[in-house]
Amino acid sequence: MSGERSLVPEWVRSEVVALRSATGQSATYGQLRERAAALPLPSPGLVLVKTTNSVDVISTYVACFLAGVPIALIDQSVTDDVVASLVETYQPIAVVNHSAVLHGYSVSLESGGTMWQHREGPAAPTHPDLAVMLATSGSTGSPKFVKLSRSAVVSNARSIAEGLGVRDEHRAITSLPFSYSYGLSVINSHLAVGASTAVTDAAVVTKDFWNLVRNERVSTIAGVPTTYKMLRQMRWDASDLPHLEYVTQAGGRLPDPDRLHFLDTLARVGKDFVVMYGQTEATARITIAPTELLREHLSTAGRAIPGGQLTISSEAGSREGAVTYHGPNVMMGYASTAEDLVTGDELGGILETGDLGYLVGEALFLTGRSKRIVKVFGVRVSLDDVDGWLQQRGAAVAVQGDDSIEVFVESHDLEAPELRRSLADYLGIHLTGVRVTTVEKLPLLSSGKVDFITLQGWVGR
Amino acid sequence: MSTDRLRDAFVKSLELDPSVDVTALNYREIPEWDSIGHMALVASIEDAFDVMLTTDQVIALSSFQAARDILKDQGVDDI
Repeated sequence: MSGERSLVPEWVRSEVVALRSATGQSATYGQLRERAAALPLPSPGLVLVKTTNSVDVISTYVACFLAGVPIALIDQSVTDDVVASLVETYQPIAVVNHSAVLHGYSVSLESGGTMWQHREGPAAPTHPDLAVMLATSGSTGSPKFVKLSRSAVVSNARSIAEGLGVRDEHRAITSLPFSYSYGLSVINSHLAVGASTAVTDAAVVTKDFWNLVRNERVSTIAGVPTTYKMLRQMRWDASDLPHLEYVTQAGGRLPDPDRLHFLDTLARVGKDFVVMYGQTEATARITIAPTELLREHLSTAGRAIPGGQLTISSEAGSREGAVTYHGPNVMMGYASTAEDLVTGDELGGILETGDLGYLVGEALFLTGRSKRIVKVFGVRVSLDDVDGWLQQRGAAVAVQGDDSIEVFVESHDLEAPELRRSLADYLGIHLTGVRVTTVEKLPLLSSGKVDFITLQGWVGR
Repeated sequence: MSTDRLRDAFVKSLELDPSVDVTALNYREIPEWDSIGHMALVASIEDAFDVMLTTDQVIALSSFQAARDILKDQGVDDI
């Protein structure tokens, strides 16, 4: 995968429908391009969009992307207080699809009926590469975002499309919220090849959903484990859906017996079941396990998507190790302040996934979460990275606490409160996410390495 | 009374206050009856009446009244 290209290829004809809802609202590729050329944005800045799976709001997202305007997407369940706090933090130039009027913003009603709020005054500046910001998983309340560059989004959309064999005559459906990285990637991977997406906010348990699948001749449905649990409980047999070709499962681990159930159920009607794995920090999906691979290795997470690479770093003699992903779709970094909006790429295309696993040939098998990668207030922190930072300042190491980093300091030269503040700043988390304890001596193993297990036992004492 | 069995299934699976008039309920009208609540309701009805709903019936079960009709189709007299 090379360079940055347009999310929507030049050759896609204007009259092709990009998005269509059950109620007949639609947007052609030509209309999306027109909208991109005529956005109501006289000055630069981030656009914050509260998402609804509707043609108009999705069109707004696409138009902003095509116009090079950075967009932050938040779920519609986010409270007014949190939105106000995000606006105060990130100072966006506009807020879209949010009904509580914000201080310092003036309201307009744009074509399509979506409410826009425009900042009275300049917005916070943004880095030229910044294209999309998505909330880190499980943190609708936290203001922390994953920053994705234009080239990361485009490359992942194209890689996913290539890996799945998406063609322009295919049709997707918005079975997941588009504020969610997986849901967004369904739309992006279809835009990337000039295909169409049926738009709905209906769930798989409804008539509306299946009517749309039939009427729009949907060829693929994307689901998370909960979706598949529901489909299994409904005794869904994928029958009477002549245009459906394959379904994808990502967003968590679906147990092997359920995988087998869907492989068999879909095979009976000549369709495919595909498992994928990924994370918002890598735009969306980074591996693919097509039917053939699952038949060979039922529990695999798949092989790397085109353009991506997986490596395992393990101790000598150990099969499993930390899973690292290398690819153009790795995030730029996290944002929690307006200053972070102008920071460029910090990861250089290398992502510590935080998962442990091993490879059999190209097939990845996940075995668990890394104990040295922890989440504090929704932010992924590498304890090894923290140790490196600490050791430049003296004898100190870190282990995981209860939604915190526990630092054990040996030297009395290192002021605990100062260290705590510096580390919290470095990590971009609240002070209460770091605790520092001074000890006489760090416990060591006979090898001379720090005894992390003993240290872990000291946490909370 | 026999109508209570279906009412009970709704109240228990959707975790509603027993004072709620479930006979007037429709899918997504209350926060408890979202897609997750829906599958809990289906499981509860299948258990309570010892039936196995078809996929189409699960999808059609969008109101209390629809639930009654589906159970009648399943041959349950005592709803």
